[in-house]
Amino acid sequence: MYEDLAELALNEAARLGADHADVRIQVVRSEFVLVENKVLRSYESSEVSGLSVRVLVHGSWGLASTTRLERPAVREAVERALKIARSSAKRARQVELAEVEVVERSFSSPCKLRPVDVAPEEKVELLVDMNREALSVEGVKNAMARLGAIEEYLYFASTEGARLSLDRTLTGIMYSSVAEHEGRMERTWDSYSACAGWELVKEVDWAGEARDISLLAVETAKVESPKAGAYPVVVDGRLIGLLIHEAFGHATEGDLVASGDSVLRGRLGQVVASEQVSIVDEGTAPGGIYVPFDDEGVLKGRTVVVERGVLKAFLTSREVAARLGLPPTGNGRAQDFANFPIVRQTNYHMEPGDHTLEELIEDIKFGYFLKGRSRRGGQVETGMGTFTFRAGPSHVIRNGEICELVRGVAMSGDILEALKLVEAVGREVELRTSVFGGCGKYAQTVRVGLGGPPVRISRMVVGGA
Amino acid sequence: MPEASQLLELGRAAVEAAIKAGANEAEAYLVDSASAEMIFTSKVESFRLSSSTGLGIRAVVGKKLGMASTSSLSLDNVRKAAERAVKIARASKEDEHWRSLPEEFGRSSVPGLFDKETASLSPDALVACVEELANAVETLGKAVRPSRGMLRAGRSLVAICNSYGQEASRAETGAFTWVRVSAEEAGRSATANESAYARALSAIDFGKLGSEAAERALDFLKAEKLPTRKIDVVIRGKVMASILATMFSGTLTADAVQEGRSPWAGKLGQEVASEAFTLVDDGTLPGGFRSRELDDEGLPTRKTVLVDKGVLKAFLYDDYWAKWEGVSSTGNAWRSGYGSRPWPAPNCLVLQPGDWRFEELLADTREGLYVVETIGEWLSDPVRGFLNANVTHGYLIKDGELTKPVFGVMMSCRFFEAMKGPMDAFCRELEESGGYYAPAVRIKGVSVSGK
Repeated sequence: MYEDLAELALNEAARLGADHADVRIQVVRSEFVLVENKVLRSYESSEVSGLSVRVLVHGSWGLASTTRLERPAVREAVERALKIARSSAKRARQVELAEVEVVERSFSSPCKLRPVDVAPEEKVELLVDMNREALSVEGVKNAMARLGAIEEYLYFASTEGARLSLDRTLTGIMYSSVAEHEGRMERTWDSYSACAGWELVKEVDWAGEARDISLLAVETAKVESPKAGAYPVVVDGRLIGLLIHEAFGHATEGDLVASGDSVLRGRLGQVVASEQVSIVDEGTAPGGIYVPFDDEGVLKGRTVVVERGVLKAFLTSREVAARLGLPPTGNGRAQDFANFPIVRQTNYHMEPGDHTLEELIEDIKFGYFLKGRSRRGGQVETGMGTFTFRAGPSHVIRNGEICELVRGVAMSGDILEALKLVEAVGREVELRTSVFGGCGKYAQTVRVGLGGPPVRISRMVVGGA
Repeated sequence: MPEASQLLELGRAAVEAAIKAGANEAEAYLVDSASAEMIFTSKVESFRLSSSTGLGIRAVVGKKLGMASTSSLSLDNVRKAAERAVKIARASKEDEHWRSLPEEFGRSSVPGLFDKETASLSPDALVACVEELANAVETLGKAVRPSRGMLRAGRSLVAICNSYGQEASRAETGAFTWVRVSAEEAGRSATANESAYARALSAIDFGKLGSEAAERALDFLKAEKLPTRKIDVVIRGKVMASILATMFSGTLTADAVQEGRSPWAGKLGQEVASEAFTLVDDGTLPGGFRSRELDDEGLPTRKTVLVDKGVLKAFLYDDYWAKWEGVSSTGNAWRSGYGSRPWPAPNCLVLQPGDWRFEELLADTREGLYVVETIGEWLSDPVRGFLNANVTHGYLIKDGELTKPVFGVMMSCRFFEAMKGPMDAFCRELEESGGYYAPAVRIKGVSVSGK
């Protein structure tokens, strides 16, 4: 039925003078459950559906969307898309689209047990059990546990003939504890999500995980922050993904390169990282987000961004590929049907090296082992070339040994410098995504996969207190 | 745009369907909204118009609650959502503290929350705003241009009704813009950012935003780093407002206090800051970006003094947490969307201005860092009270004057301790950041790490 609406929109757009049109339909069913201190705080079940039509008229974009999936509303959306494309024409960029393969294909992410088929009681009990275990740790004053499950259907159709669909299921658990020690409070958290169904939940002892995060909160409440300064660090596999994403990934997004807002502009083929560093962006990867094609109907394969320290590619949408004269990489992604696809990362990660964790640490006289568990996210200013992110509770490295715990604090560095300071890369790669959030750009949030191997970086600025 | 009465009619149908399905209380929350968004550089890069609707229904069976929502407002889907909410409520666990949904709605009078011109989402008017901004940048020469920007304008109509026969609605508009200007000269490059939130497009001075960002971008072509040290910082009001949001929006609410995740629990009546520090939540601030005439449960907003001259005086409540403690709601119920339950969050959070003129404050600062833009200030820790931010744009203060531009240094301090003394000067002018308001302040002895 929705496919008919897509055909209607494409036909209307062509009839009214669009040179190109594409339609995206999205139907999302989700459940989010929150239990705090053993009390069910919310159980939200939602259904959202909508359609957008994007048109190109004499080289100018317009997009209109509606949540009313009815023929009159779709017709109206097409008219609005054309109207705004025409009204911004005098000031608009003349857009060309890179040629891409026209694909007709359906995809689905693996899901053995649909989360919606699991009784609500079972979900609530699981979270209450997690709270019970978390609160059993002495010194813990608060425990929260969340469950998120999303089933979404995406349909893409274009006037060029592309017809793609995707069924994707994401399930995840998130939990936090707050501990108090001598009047000082500390909150720690962790989460685990994957493109999978309820089977993911059954694989793990969640109550045990909740207890562990409580123990971490209690220990961290007792310790201090690192001292402000610059130090050699080893970054674990949970944190390196965030660092790569912020410190480098955004600056390789082709739209920022094209508009002059990336310090990596003009550096294709140049050395931007140490020889140990290779980075790829791939649409499907174990543990990551499942993006077989982007929101422009372009298959997202594997893009080698950095190969042994040399910058090989920028991520592109069709428009940006044409502007930069580069291949389209399938990175035109939108938060949802209502938003414009813009250049975004998918599963952007560093390739493994050949060092053990012990080898990464053994030569450091004094530094920090920065960990990703209970981290806080990050941000980058691609034009000034500076980035920041906050690690979770971490450890001092002294004479090649992992020593006492320190609070997690914010770090910062420079895009053009950070990856050149990578001295050694570990063996194990760990990728993760999240049902609870993602990465923000232009006020759009998309889910990404983050991860990589542990690495040693010779110098990083640590903001102590 | 539909009338509130149309939304309320659907809301009543949802409430009735929930009661029929076995709920003893039910509440419907409906939204009809439209927004326009333009992404721009020196040109318009993309333009979109979105319209959306949604209904969230909260059903109560005994003391058990369920929420269901749908983006489709067909009568059939509305009833189905109501039935789903009841089904979830039945399967839920009892909340022994549940009393009831709000029994009596109310409304405050707040001017400046709806602007007709903004609500029209006129494509020509929006393009004109972007032109004004881009032209202001371009008059400063070829070395600068807007390299990224976004303009968003929207209108929304919210209607709420419940099984106590209570009904209310509110209509609002909003506009937001952000621009990054890039400067390039002699092989060096730099950027600067400006942003603004308002209830009306006409309340944003697009030309001024453009020229301020452009002038700063040019300045920062010669920016340097600072060595690691302790220094007095003067934080721009806009940055301070964003820090306020991180430091207080999740911890001065009654749920955070009762649930044991607020560092302010048990401190009512205590001195938590110096006498110069007064923090107010004001849902009635005229034209405020987080002001509302009624909150997301239909209760009237008001002004609540949270910290009065350094003494912690109050927390923020929605109806549930107010009933838990036997007090009145402060009108602070918020939802993250129509499908979400309400919980307490700040309306307009305002750090009260002091009596320093900005120039006086600079003159009084022999050596310091004026912090103009940061990234990652939201990574600060509101529970333990640590401030961390990467200063992407700052100016060194020397002998009371702004001197060389400084970038890429981390500033860190124990914020809760700073509130008691080192945060010693508050300027006269309030600046905004998305519904949070603060003056420029000085904090003494902040550690910065750079080179």
